[in-house]
Amino acid sequence: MNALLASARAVHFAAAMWLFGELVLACALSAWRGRDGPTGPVAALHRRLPPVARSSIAIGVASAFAWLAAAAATMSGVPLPQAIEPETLGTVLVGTLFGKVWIARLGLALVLLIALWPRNTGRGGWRLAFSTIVAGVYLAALAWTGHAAAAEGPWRDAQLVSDVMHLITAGAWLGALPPLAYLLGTTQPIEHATWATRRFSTVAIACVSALILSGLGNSWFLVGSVPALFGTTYGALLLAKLALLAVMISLAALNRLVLTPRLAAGDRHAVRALRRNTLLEIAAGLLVVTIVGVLGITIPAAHQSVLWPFAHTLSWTPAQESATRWPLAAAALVAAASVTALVAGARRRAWRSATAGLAGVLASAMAGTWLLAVPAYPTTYASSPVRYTTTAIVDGERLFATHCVACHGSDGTGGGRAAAELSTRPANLVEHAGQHRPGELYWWIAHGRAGTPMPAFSPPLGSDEIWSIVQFLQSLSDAASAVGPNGELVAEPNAPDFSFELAGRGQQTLLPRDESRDTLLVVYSLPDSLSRLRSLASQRRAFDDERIRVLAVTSSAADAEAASAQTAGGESMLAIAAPDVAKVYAIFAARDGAVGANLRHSEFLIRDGRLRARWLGVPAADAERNQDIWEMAENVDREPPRPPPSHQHAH
Amino acid sequence: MALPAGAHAFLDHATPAVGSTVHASPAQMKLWFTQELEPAFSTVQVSDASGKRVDQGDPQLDHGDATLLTVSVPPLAPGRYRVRWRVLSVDTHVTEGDYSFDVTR
Repeated sequence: MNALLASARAVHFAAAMWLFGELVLACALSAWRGRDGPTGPVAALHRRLPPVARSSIAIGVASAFAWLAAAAATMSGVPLPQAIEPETLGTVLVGTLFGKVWIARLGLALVLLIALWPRNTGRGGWRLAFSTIVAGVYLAALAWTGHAAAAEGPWRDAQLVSDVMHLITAGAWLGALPPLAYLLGTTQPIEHATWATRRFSTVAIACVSALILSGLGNSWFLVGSVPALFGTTYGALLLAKLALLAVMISLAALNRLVLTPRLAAGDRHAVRALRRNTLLEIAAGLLVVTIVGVLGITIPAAHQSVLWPFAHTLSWTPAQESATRWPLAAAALVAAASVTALVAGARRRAWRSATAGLAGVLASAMAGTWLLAVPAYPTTYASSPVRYTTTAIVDGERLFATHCVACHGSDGTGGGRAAAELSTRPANLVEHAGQHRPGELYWWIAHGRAGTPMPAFSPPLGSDEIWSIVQFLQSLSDAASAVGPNGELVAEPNAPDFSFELAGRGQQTLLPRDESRDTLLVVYSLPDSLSRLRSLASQRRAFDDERIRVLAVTSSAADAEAASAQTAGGESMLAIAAPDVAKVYAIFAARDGAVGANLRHSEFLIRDGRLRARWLGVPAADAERNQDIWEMAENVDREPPRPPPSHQHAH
Repeated sequence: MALPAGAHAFLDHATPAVGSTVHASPAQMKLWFTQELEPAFSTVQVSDASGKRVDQGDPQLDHGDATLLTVSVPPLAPGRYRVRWRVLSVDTHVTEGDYSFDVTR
């Protein structure tokens, strides 16, 4: 089914691009002909339009029906013969965005067929302009059938604009190649072919520039990072597409810089060479469109976990060591000098100096790469499929206590009871987790570290279990680096998510996607916290006015029961939650940077999935504490909203 | 090694939360996805430990939020429940998955 879907898409894209490009070239040549330009090429293209329109629309409509059938089968999950029954097709056509766009585009195809019908010939400039615009909409509307249409929030429009621009410029360039090849094969005299080629070239340069820009935009949205380009199926397909684009641009540059001047000088062989190169470009373009067909049904790289294919990657970490810093600075100097030599040499046509410059650039680039290369693993850039939740952290802590404390110690700093007997001191994981990617930690836990006593834990541990340990280490590292020397918060650690219930209401989670309110999370224990809980309950109207949701959690079931019995009006804030929640947040209540202190009472202000402020202990003066909280919340409210932390999990 | 192979609209979070325990029977399941969904082919079913379907068969998208899919359930007896979802995102791709939660007392 995927093969039918991908090929129907590819054929359909190619047909729509061809029609649009054909019209754009006809428009461009007509517009630039002026009073005394050659009429031959323009007339030839106009004669070509009706049969081209008929073929491309016929191919377009046939492939659109194949696409519809394949889409109906994948959407409904039933085999193709059942999917094309009227009921399913009707639901697809009326009930989905894809179907509505499909119907609208079929209408546009009909309009084009009529507008370009042979009986309507004549050189009506308006008819040509109208057809070109309709063909442009017919092509651009394909953006609404792809990944861009499903983008989220404010970026959806940007992504659609980028995609529309990409389709239009690709169509104007690639679609105009067939008529150019036709003109090069038929046009006499040679001056007319030269004229047409120059006009095409102007359009093509503008299109290719915009094509590259919008392509970068699309890649930013759908790939998002360099590792994703190399480590996902989508990225690999995109690289193949870029390689083909490089071939096409090289051919185009050859045409423009070498063959067109020879053509202008009256060289007949140049026409044949130009035509051959144009046909090669068309072939490469068809391959590109084939890849596009597959890309549309491939998970965008930005949404897929990256499987890094190389044994090394580049990192700035080595640059922080003095042994690397000086050679690196030397390489940068050589690079700067070489670039100067290259540019100056090329401008003065001093080829020896330019060659030396080029060699210097390559040598310094290689040296820099070698200096900054660090070992990498397939999971180096992987993101955790296990979400950063209190449940995952507690699971990780339990596994850590079973498998890791003997060497790494219960606080993770490397001072376990077996540590003294080992040849290498166990790593301080609290530091490690801050310096390395989660995917690196995952790999080391799963596969061990060669040359050290660190063994492989996969098996016995499963993938999700290892990721839970990584999330636990992340929480230790986040907590350790978030607390300053005087016990204040100096960073904004991610808030582990959790689910809870309030009496008589359904289950909720800490982090809805559209978090616009601040949360005051109170971790309490009785009897110390009772007065504070009562005060918060009596002040709940004031907290509501400040748009702050107050949630109180405890690690003791008995305390939870006692608190609800003894706190009037506490139902709106006393959360029924697993004891894990209070236990995990206690990690973030360390004093003096010492992690693990289990304080009896702490309060956290949480916004956009991050801990923004904390207060330790039961306040001596409630009013003062509340004022402090409200002021902090107002400060936080003045900041522009931020997306939730991204590295919490992959899908 | 199995890396997660997702597709296009993924389950972001849900209430009752994936793998959680609730004390009060929820009136409906709420599933938030990472992309807007097509109501036409997006379904969610809830079944009890014996595999019997218990939801009211009324999966629908939230009026204000096309990433939120809900389905109503009658008062649930204590036990384990399995939620199966199959959704179509607006970029025409289908994804499916399942999770469970417990109801106590």
